[in-house]
Amino acid sequence: MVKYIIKRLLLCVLILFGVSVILYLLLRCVPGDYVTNKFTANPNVEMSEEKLEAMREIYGLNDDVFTGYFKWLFGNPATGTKGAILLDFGTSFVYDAPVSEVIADHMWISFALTLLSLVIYYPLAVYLGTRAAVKQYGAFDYATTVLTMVGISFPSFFFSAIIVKIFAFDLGWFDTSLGLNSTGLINPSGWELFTDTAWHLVLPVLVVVVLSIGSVMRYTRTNMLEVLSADYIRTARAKGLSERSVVYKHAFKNTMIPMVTVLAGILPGLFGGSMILEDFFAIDGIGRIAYNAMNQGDIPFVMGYNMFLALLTVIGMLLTDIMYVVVDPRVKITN
Amino acid sequence: MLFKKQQKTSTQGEENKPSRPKNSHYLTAKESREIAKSNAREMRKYEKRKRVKNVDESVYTCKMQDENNIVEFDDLHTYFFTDAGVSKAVDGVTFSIPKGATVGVVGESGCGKSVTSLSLMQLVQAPQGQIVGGSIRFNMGDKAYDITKMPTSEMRKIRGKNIAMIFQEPMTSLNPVFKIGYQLDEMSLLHNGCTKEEAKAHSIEMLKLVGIAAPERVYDCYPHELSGGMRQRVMIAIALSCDPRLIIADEPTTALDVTIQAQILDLLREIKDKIDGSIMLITHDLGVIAEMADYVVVMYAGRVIEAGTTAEIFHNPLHPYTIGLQKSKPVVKRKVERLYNIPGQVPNPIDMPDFCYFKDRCDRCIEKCNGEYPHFIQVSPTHRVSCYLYEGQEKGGSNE
Ligand SMILES: Nc1ncnc2c1ncn2[C@@H]1O[C@H](COP(=O)(O)OP(=O)(O)O)[C@@H](O)[C@H]1O
Ligand code: SF4
Ligand SMILES: [Mg+2]
Repeated sequence: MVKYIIKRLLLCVLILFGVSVILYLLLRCVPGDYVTNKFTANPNVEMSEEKLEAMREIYGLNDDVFTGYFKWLFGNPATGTKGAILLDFGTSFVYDAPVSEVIADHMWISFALTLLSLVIYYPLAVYLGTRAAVKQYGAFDYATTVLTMVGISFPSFFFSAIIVKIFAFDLGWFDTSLGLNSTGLINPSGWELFTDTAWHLVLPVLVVVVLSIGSVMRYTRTNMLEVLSADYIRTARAKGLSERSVVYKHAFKNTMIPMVTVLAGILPGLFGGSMILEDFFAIDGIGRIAYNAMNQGDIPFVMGYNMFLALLTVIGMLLTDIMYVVVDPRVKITN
Repeated sequence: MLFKKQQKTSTQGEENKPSRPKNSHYLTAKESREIAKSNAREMRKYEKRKRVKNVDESVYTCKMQDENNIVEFDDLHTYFFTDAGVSKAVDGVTFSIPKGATVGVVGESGCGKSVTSLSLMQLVQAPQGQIVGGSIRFNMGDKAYDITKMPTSEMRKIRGKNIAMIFQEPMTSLNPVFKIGYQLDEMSLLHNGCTKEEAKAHSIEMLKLVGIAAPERVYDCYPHELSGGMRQRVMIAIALSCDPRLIIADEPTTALDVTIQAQILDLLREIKDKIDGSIMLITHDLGVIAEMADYVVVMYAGRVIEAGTTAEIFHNPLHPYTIGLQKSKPVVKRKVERLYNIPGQVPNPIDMPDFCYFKDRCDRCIEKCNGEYPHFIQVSPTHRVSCYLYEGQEKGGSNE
């Protein structure tokens, strides 16, 4: 097992290397760099072409792609960075702080938001999917299918807009100023601050729940249907077991194998945040931070953030595989 | 004309269908909508009947025709409501299983053997598969139940306890995520209401009974850790666990290799003597039947076409299909040029002709065979056949 994990980790490093090459190439292909964006967009600041050139030199934007990548990976003595290979991703242009620090500062809010949603939608989706499979082609099945399909097909900004319009503007239940806290709080106590934040999280969490529940529900339903048609389910019925034991014991345990492994795969990704949603609700999570950085051509941050996402993804895949060994008695790692 | 000719070659054996002779493979959108609609209606009707609660026992209590029988199938009809139309998988099956006897059910694959046995357990794949007519009388000892009229909740008490089933595929018939011990214990916990310790002791005893050398070790194994033969032994142990009055073995050896087959058959014979129950042995292998069965029922396209004692069927087969089956059976020690093979194929169960179903493949057709489906002719008190060739040879009075 340990040997297997080490082997997988080495593979992960290889994947991450490939990802970084492609990412860097893409980023350097994007028209309009940080310096141009920042200093020429503002009509009040008159910058001479020489000055801009000098700024570009400072930010390392004059290096060709190859040199630039090399510096990113192995460090640049001129700026004192140690390079991505030593986990130093440099200093963010926009936030003027080490990339890893910015990420660490903002990922927890994103994590809290997505974890909270996950805790709500995952069990709910498994429950609904199971029910829908048991009553295949029944009214319940059709109803959940239609509703979840609607959820899947809505773009998140559109759905967020509808939700905010209905619950915040029309019904007035929520603060329309968005953000994580009300604007009018004067000297709030800890408890007040907590309930205020919680109340502000309701709408974003609702959006994530509605948008994510559909795919997990479909997945559960498909799995459950497959299991329910298996021979061992017929055996269980032939034993005289009640339909309840057949479904919720014999079938459910088999359905849970892929569900648990998928969950393990999702978990690391929760730190990645959601750009559109966080931006819409003005939540200072990592998604929003990255969105701004991206808009302004902040190469070190975007590189760092995307490497972070890639890392989360490969960890997720690794966890999925390890989870299979843990929950499925048939899967054993040999050699 | 050209079109018609092409059609003939492509739909061999179906061309004689009376109702939809042309474009029989294609359903128009309208036809298929109508099928879907009527299917939905029928399925709902039968499902509802099964789900009724608190049915009075008198509704499904009945009387056995012969108290010495454990099961009597009486004109059983089990249909599948499929998208292509109603498939008459079992279409008027009548036979009985005497107490303590082994009855072999033979026929080529797809003839409705499994569906007949699943009907007896009320395990036909719902909602598309439904028992639509006839009765299945099951002798409980002091009383008899008609299984076709029982609500599922009552049927559950009989499944596993009075009738147990062994399936064809030992590889997939055990739940992969539960240990053998758990799957065995479940039976006695459910039907005998004993404690966990008692259940475990009983399970280990059962594993010993089916010839498993290290029962304690197997008790803690997952199914994938056992070989096919071992798993089938475990299935038999599960089936035997509650002393059933009837064991249905649906092709119990088909998926196993030859040496293991012989062992499993020996085991079945052995335990039958021990438990004093009946066995309904389903197979397409006449050799297995010859070795194991007291009575034989030959099925073809959802119907029984011949039934009798094993001696009668083997030494005096009457129906051209039975004779064909015998010829197609490989015999050890006798060199045959080529295995005989009954030409043609089984008619489509969705659109059965109203004459003898075997006519298109029969080499002994007579004028009469164009008439309606042949009735049973009782050629001896135990032997009956449904074929026009034997008309006028009735003996011992017919009760069909
Ligand atoms: N779940 C099902 N849905 C539709 N048709 C079925 C189903 N199960 C069986 N049938 C039909 O019933 C007929 C009899 O099948 P079966 O009893 O399994 O044959 P066998 O004699 O090989 O055991 C077949 O023609 C098959 O097409
Ligand atoms: S009834 Fe006629 S067609 Fe059918 S099996 Fe007998 S001889 Fe053949
Ligand atoms: Mg079968």
